[in-house]
Formats: sequence, structure tokens, C-alpha cells
Amino acid sequence: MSLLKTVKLVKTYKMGETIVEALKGISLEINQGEFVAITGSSGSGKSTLMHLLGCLDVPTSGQYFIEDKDVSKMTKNELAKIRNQKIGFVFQKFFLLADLNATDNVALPALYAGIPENEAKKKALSFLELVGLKDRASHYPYQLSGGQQQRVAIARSLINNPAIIFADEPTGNLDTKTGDTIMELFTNLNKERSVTIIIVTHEPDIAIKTKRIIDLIDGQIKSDKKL
Amino acid sequence: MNNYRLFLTALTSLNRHKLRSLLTTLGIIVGIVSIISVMSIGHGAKYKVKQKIEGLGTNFIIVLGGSPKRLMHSRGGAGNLTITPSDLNAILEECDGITHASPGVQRSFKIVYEGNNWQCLVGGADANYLQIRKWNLTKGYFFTEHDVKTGKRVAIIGKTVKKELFGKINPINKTIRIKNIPFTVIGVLEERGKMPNGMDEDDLIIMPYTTAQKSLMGIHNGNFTAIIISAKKKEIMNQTANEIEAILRQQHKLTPQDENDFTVFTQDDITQASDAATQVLNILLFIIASISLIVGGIGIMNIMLVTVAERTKEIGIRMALGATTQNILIQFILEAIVICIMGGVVGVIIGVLISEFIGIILGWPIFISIKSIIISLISCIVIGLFFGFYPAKKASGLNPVEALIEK
Repeated sequence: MSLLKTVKLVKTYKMGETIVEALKGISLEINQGEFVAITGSSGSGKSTLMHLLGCLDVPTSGQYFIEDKDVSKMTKNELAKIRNQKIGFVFQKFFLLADLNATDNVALPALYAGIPENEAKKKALSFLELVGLKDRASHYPYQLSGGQQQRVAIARSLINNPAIIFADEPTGNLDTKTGDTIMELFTNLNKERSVTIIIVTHEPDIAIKTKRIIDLIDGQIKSDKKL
Repeated sequence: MNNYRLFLTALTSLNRHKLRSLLTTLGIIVGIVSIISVMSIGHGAKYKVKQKIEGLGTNFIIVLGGSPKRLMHSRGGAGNLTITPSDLNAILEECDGITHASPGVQRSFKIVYEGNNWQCLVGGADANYLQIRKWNLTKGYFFTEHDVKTGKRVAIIGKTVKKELFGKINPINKTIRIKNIPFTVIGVLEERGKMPNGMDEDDLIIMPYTTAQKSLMGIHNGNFTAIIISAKKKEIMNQTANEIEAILRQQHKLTPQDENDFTVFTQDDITQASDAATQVLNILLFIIASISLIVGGIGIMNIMLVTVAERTKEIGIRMALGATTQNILIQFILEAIVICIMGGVVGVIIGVLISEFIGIILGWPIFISIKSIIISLISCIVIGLFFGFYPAKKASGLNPVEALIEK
């Protein structure tokens, strides 16, 4: 059984009069425990694909299954639940909430899952410890470096034990050295906790650190290579 | 996510924009201040008016010459000289419910004491005037029945008249002149203050009605403009008034088709009339308060729309992390309600202070009712809910992707 499976996924946008076809029938399968990079130049459709795979958007046509459940037909609230329970996001610009400290940021998805506040905070602390930021638990985002903020974001993506983590250019706002440590963290998470990780990147140096590279061009899969 | 956490989230985001939150709440504050002060001052005014009407006399009934319609048009409702001594006798003989009755005449005159002069109302009454009006003297004594019979030239003066003519001098046994006729001041009335209509009750001179009729007003047929009456009991006041009406209709030989050529008022009638006037005023003020609350609510909707637009990215992030439409909806509605309640609490505090202050200035008792505070805070919640709903709905309806990629 594959973890993710798409069948002829199509996404079109209307831009004024013209219709833009961002994805032109993507069919792929990703299994539990894989470490995948989705690459492509800007405009190749890789972000659109990530939004669909991350249940942030719905396809124009085609099907998408997570653990054999058809996600493409789900309602807004069902999708919110899938994002909360099955998916963790790590973004290029971290997207931490400025009003919350590190612990509260990490705890947020757990609170949305209905976990009591105390328990959620305890969990948040353990994940901050996992990413090596236990001593920064009560710091606010502005008090943290870029690398530290991204670690907090990774801890946040892990808190509900999701099946998949999507990372959208996770090193894009970091210097090479910090970027490398973040990639190491992903590699370890994949190896030690066998979390499925999908990284969207345009940098070949980053993609090469994963185990499978899906290269997109003009909304279609150009190549799909296991390393 | 529990509501307490959402409440904290609302507080945090309001705290981030302190000035904006304050300005937003101003409309609500003004509305609540007006509700609180209107209700408490209105309450105080009503109490004050009631007190004044009770102060008119003991189970007070007044008969005025002239039809109600005519009286409406005459200035001050002074009444016509159409009530005769035989009317008074008939009332006293046939009506059981009366303890006291006094004829009344009144007119405005210029009063002179040495170099000072003062224009005021001069009233003629019987020796039982003070009992009917539930009034007392601070100095001197009242005229007697004998004084009335003989038409003695004596005068009882009100506090205002004393102040204007005599200042600090003791007026007792001093001589004042009206139309160049000398009168001896024999008593000073206790201070009563202003009537609800603004008339100064202390700006008055009372003398025997016979003296007023003959010496001052040139009334030779003995008629009066009014009879003031004290009924035995409050319960029979209205019944007595009806009896008096029947007696006077007979006395004045009115056929069933004729309208009354006199008017009978009881204390109850005056209370009802003033209640009706207060009611109208209250409704008016309530409308003004409601309008300012609605305007305040629109202000809140405006700011909430700006807030939602500003925080699109935050909404996108929350949605990506699994917030449902309801989570976002409740978060923003709660924020609007919290703004409104904060405005409400500040409004209640300022409203109470303003009411107390006005009470001190006017010398009125101020009643700050728990009811008005509860009404205020409930209207705040309703306004927050109502005007916060549209912006919150807009926030919760955002597409996660579009919200996230928003610059």
C-alpha cells in the first residue's frame, strides 16, 4: 500500500481570459518512509503540486489518495483535519506566529487537534528537545536565528506525528551551513523515525541529499529517479 | 482548540495594536456611557419629579376655572375667574372625602421694599393653605381665618422673594408695597426649590384671598381662579375628583352635551402626565444611545475587516496547521466581542462617573441600576457578535493557499 498516490492530477488557473495549466496530469506514488525531493525550475508546477499533496488546495481533475482514502473529494473541514493529523509543513519563511513563543508555536497543531493545553505543551517541549532547542522554549521568533526558527517549525510539523512532512524550500532563507544542518535533521528524522519527507526545492545540492528526485517541467514529470 | 485559548489569542492580538483597539472601542464607549448616564439620570429625574409632585400637597386636588382646552392655551394655566364662592360651598357640603379646601387667586405683581423691587407671583389663599400644600414656615406665623375674614394686608413670602428684596435683613414685620399698597410681612416659607418644569416655587407671595381679591386684583364678585383641595385618603383622591366634577357641572348648569368649563386635576393625573413626558424623553435618549452603539459597531466591523486583511498570512498558517473554518470564525468573532466588552467596561466606568458628577451638579439622587450595567454589557456582546460576524466569516472563508502565498 502506498502512502500517497495521485492519478492524472490536473490543476488549472484562470488568469484573466487565459487558462493556465499548472499541472498537466501528474501520476505518482510515494511510499511510507521515503525521502523525496520534488525539483524543477520556477513555474514548473512544483509548488502547485506540493499544495495539492499537502491538501491546501483541491485538484481541477484527477484523483489523490492518502492511505487509500480519496482526498480530492473531501470537504474543507475534512481537509483541515487531514492537514492537522496526517501532514506537517515546513516553509521557506518558517511561518511561525510572531505572538507566540517557541513552545506555543510548536503546540498549536496539537491544540487544533483538541489535545489539552498542558499535554500539548509537554509534547511541544519534547519535540523542541528533539530539534535541539530545549533551552529556547520560551523565546519568541524574533529572538531566534533563522536556523533556530526553522528548527521550531520542524518541531511544529512533527507534533501530531504526521505520516508525511512537506518542506517547501526549507533551506531557501538560510545560509549554506545552517541549511546543511537542517537537511541533516531531516535525514535523521527520516532514518531514525522513518517519517516520510517530501522536500520541494530548486537547488540540486539539496535534492541530492534525498533518496528520490522527482523532476518537474511544465507541469509534467520529466524524471523520477531513485538515488 | 478551547475557547479560553482563543480568548487569550484575541487579547494578544488586541494588545499588539493598543491605539487601534482603543480608537475602535471609542464608539462603543460613547454608546455605553450614554446608556448608563441616560438610565441613571433618568431614574434620578423621575424620583425628583415624583418627590415634587408629592410635595404639591397632601392627596392634592386642584380645580381650575376654564375648560382643559382653554387652559392649555393660556400661559401658565392660571385659570379663569369662573369659580364662585357657592361652588366652593357646594363642594364642601356635598363631598365627604375632603379635609381642607382653599380658594385660590393669583397674578404677577411688582413688589417694592425700600429701594428694591421684584416681580413675582402673588397668590391669595385661605388660612389652611399650608396644610393643603404640606408646607411649613421658617420664620413668623401664617395668617388666620380672622385675617381672611377682615381682609388684612399681610403677606407670607417665599425664600426667593426674601433673598431678592431683603437679602440678610429679617423681613418679619417689614412693610412691602404692591401697587403702592402696604403689606406687612408676617412669615417666610420653607425652601421648596424648582418645579420639574423649571418654575421656582419659592418665588411667591401668599396673602389672604380676600385681601388679594379686593385690594390688589379688583375682584368684587368674590370669584376665584382655583380651588385647592386636600382629600382624606390617597385611595379616594380620584373618586373625590369625580364627585367634585359632578358637583361643579350641576353648579354651572351644564347640559350633558356641554364640555366642562373648569378643570380638575389630581396628584395622580400630574404624575401620569409627567411619567408620559419622561417616557418620551427616555425613548429619545435610548434611540440616541442605540445609534451611537450601531455606529460604534460599524467602526468595529471596519477595523475587523482591516485586521483580517492584515492577518491573511496568519490565517493561512493556522489553516495549514489544521485550523478548521469554525476555529478561524470563532477566533475573529471572539476578538470583536472582546473589543466590545472592553469598550463596554470602560463605558460603564465612565458612565457611572459622569452620572455621579451630574448628580452632584444638579443635586439629584442618582440611581445606578445593575439592570443598566447588565443591559450595557449584553448589548456589547450582541454588537461584537453581529458586527464581528461578517469579517470573521470572510477570514474563515479564505483559501489556505491564497492566504499563505499572500505577500
